Amino acid sequence: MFANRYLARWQGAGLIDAAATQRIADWERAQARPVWLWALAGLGAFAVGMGLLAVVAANWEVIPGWLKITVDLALNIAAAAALFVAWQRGWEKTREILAIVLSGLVLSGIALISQVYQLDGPAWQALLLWMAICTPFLALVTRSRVLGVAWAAVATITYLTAIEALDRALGRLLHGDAIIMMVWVPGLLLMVVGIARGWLATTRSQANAIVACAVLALLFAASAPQFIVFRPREEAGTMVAIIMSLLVAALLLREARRDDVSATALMVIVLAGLATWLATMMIWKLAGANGATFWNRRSTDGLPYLSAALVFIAFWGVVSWLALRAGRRALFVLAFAVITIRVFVIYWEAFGGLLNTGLGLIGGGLLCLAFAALGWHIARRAGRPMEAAI
Amino acid sequence: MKRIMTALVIAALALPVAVLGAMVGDAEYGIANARVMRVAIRGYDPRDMLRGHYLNYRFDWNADIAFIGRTTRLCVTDAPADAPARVRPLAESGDQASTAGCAFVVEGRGEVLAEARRAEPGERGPAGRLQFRPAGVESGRLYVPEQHAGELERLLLAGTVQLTIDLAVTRAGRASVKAWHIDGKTVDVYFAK
Repeated sequence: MFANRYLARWQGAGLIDAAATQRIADWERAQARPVWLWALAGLGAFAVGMGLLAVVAANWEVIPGWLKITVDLALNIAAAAALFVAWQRGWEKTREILAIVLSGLVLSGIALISQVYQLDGPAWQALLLWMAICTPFLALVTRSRVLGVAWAAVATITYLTAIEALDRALGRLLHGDAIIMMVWVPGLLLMVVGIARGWLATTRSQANAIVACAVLALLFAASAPQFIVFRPREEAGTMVAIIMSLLVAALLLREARRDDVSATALMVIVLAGLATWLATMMIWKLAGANGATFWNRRSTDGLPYLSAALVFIAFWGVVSWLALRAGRRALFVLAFAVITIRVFVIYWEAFGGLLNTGLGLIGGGLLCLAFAALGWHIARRAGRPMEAAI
Repeated sequence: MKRIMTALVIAALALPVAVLGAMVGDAEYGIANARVMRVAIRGYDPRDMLRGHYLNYRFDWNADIAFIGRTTRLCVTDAPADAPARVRPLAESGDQASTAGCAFVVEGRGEVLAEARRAEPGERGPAGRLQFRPAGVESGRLYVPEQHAGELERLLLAGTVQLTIDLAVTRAGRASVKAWHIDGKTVDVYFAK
């Protein structure tokens, strides 16, 4: 669709002839992936899984527990056997959909056994067990981006449900707050999973999807110190986060040397994100800022909040530059929107009164214009017309 | 290489079934080798999409109180099959920590209050002085059939029925729910009337 629009534009400008236009259009058509069909199929398989969960949740006492469990186990075995056949015969779409169905059946099996035997325990334990027993077959059998994203989403949900228990455990282990570890390190781990998944040529597409999820997680995590005034009493968690970040950066450097073109950009995001965390924590510490969150800050001095906001803007500036270089239009627009919103929030949180707010808004406007001029200058020097790049 | 990969895929696909089977086996083994005690409960019925209808409950212990303070063990002195078990909270140390005369001991966490706890919203009447959750059933949740959940909630709020749980207690003192009853009858028998 996008290709057709550009092809017509380039042909109109006399850059390519009609034959080349036709060849490119044919090639693009052959490469096209029916995203909406995949979405529909994924939705169908997901609905089957949720339906099974709802049937289990109904706890229909007319059927004895042993019979329900037997039927569930039989369905699991049948789905596993069908998935094996699909994998052996190379039926790509059937294989991916059966993998989703089997994952749903396994989850419903855990829920059913918990219900029949009235097993106790928090939800995260059930989700963690589900991930632990489904990840091996998903890793060995599946290849699609959809399942890569789904796996990353389930890992995130499992992590979020376990976050309280993890907070308590890390607090005991490190004798203090571990927010940087809990917010920043999981994104790094997800990135390591994505990189390792990409070592096999057959799973590179799925690996890219997992890495994209990891980048989103890291962008969110690097922004978190803006919302949490975090001043740890002990620095053990910070040290672990620094070491983890450097290890991941080293891994990405190795990938960059193996001709992975995106590895350098990922390394910059990891190091810039870590720098954002450390700089913001230092600002909170030096300023003696109090208030646990963004919403209940108490300070008569706007300078620490202005400094923290500038660190945040610098980080997102790096992200927008990387997006521009890589031609990632959506990410560039997101980064630009985040910076713009943050610039205006500065004046709400750091200044007060109409005169100051007015002066602040003028300053913010000039800052945006300066950013725009800088962006055009960089784009010109890089020899990339911005409209084409994004 | 292909043979190894095939073996790995078969093992990975068999893993979920094996784990689910092991969960069933472990639960069955635990119940088969456990001692059973009946305990009265009180509660209300919220809804949960993932795990279905469940009842949030508190135990109404039939307890002999001899001290005030924290406790991590209950001594079960008598556990008849058709009536609530008689228990005695054990203190951390001293005379009240002795397990002499106990048929078996339940591990967990709780407290003996100086006076009865006030009723929670939705509960009828004050609860007993012994607040104790056995290990293994800490969440205090009981899955109930969707078909009867509404009626059960109404009956509980009206205070016209007595709910009891049969706890299966392992030798290590961990508990799991073996069965539950409404006025001494299983749920299908009770609602069949």
